[in-house]
Amino acid sequence: MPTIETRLLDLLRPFLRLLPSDQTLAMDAELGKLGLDSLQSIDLLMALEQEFEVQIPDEKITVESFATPAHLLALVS
Amino acid sequence: MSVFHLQDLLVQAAAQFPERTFLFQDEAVITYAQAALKVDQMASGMLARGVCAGDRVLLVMENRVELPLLTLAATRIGAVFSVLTAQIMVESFQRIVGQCEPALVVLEAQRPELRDGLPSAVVWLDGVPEEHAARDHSYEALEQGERTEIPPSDGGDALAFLVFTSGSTGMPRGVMLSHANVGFVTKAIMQRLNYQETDRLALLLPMSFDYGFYQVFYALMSGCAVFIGRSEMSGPELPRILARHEITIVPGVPTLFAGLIKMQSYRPVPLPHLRLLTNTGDHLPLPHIRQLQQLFPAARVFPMYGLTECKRVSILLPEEIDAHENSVGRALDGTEVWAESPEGQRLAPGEVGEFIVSGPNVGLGYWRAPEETAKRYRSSANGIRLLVTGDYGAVDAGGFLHFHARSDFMIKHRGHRMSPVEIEEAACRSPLITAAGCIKDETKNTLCLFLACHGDQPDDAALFAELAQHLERAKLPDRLIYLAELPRTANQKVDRKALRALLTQEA
Repeated sequence: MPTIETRLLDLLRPFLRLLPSDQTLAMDAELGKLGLDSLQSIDLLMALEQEFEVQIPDEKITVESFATPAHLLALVS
Repeated sequence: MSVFHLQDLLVQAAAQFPERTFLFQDEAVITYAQAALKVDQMASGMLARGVCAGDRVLLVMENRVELPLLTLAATRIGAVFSVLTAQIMVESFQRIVGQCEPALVVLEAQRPELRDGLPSAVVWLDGVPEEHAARDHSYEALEQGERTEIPPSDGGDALAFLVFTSGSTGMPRGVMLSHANVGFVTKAIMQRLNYQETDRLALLLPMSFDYGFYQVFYALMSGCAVFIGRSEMSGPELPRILARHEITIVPGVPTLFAGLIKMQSYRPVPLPHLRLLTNTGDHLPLPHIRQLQQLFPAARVFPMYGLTECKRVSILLPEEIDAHENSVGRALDGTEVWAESPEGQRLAPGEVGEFIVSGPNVGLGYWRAPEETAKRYRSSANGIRLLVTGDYGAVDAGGFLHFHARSDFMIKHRGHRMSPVEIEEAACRSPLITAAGCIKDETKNTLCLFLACHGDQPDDAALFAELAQHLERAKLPDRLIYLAELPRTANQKVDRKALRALLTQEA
């Protein structure tokens, strides 16, 4: 069973078109710089809630919580 | 009648709505009266630093409360301001500096690399970087200076500010707008949109984008409060940001509204205050208009069409949408728009041609670019300035504009205007790429870059990363398509029409 962290990073990769396929994604990488835009963040939110079977509370859905994989991990774990 | 000067807007607003909130962001709240005072202080500070009427002042920053104040301070002394995107590439910035020869540049501390090679004085927001402390100034020093007498400057047809956009060659060019242009267009737009002093507007579009910036003028004219937001906010948090600040007006572009629709449908938030949604930058598809109307029954949706060179061409009123589906509305009052044939003949209603705009909204031309200016701006027989838009469509018998296509030389995508040439040139900088052709797939709303390469196809993300070194994020293509060779026209240029045909075949 893959860890939450691996599942998260795998889920994130297709959203990051500036991340070369042979490069690993660090937990503190800035997602905006890797190509995640605000419209995609909405799709990402939906994908996260589905994959991890959670409902992220409204007050945690902020611009900052989409900053890095580590921030997102805090949302779903 | 006295000649209109941009600063009149602030003077009048401060007299009419002194205690009303003008700008707010985080903890900062600035009333109209406070803004007028701060602007005077800052204008004095600019004078003390040697900025004179007619000088250029460049402002490179994210949306923040200081930005409108800085622009109004520049205006106050008759200087010409230009707001540049905080994400600007060093190279484009240097080109613009070369063109403008600014007397003053205001930068944010997070972009110290923009300081390199600048001959002009620099004012820093968020602290002066240590290495420049000896010669540069802080924003606070500018703002807290002593008020001095400010000599009057020319309004009317005098140049008020520059908006830099991509030219057809991919080089940045400055669209020149006069005090009179802004005075006219602000009034004409408010006639249709009718902002109220009780309104609360969310400014999420960057102020480097002219429709973002003009919201400041509309606020000054109406007395409404402006929440200074940023484009990053148009994601998952958007509905809640609008709710928290009891926003009544959202000026947007299609991607912003697409996000709002998506998020509001997924996780609705009550937004009872919302009353105006205005769209520009790109065509808002009819299904999106319908969804907005359904999600926000109390809000009115205004589709609009314009280009920086004349700010606004037309606005469709919400009550006109049903009878004029897919129209972008009638020309602003006091202006005229018609379609012209390739031979330069004015076409009959309903016939498709290039849109020509005539009226006091038409700007002064391009900064220090007489040839480009001559291509797009003309004078009619009676001396009225005309704008040749490069956009194609028809005007019906009722005066409603129907948009068909933009010229192949310019792309509008995600609310940004770009030249295919600059994207193609950025791609060709990669040693692997031999040829590039960029077009927008309007049906899928994607920016497509066709490429030919040496040897093996490079990794998409690696090429994106290379492109990102030369292009701002909004200009990055959505799709890369490799061909053995790109189709060429008779004179060996990349044939964008043929590329378009390839996309059509694919569909």
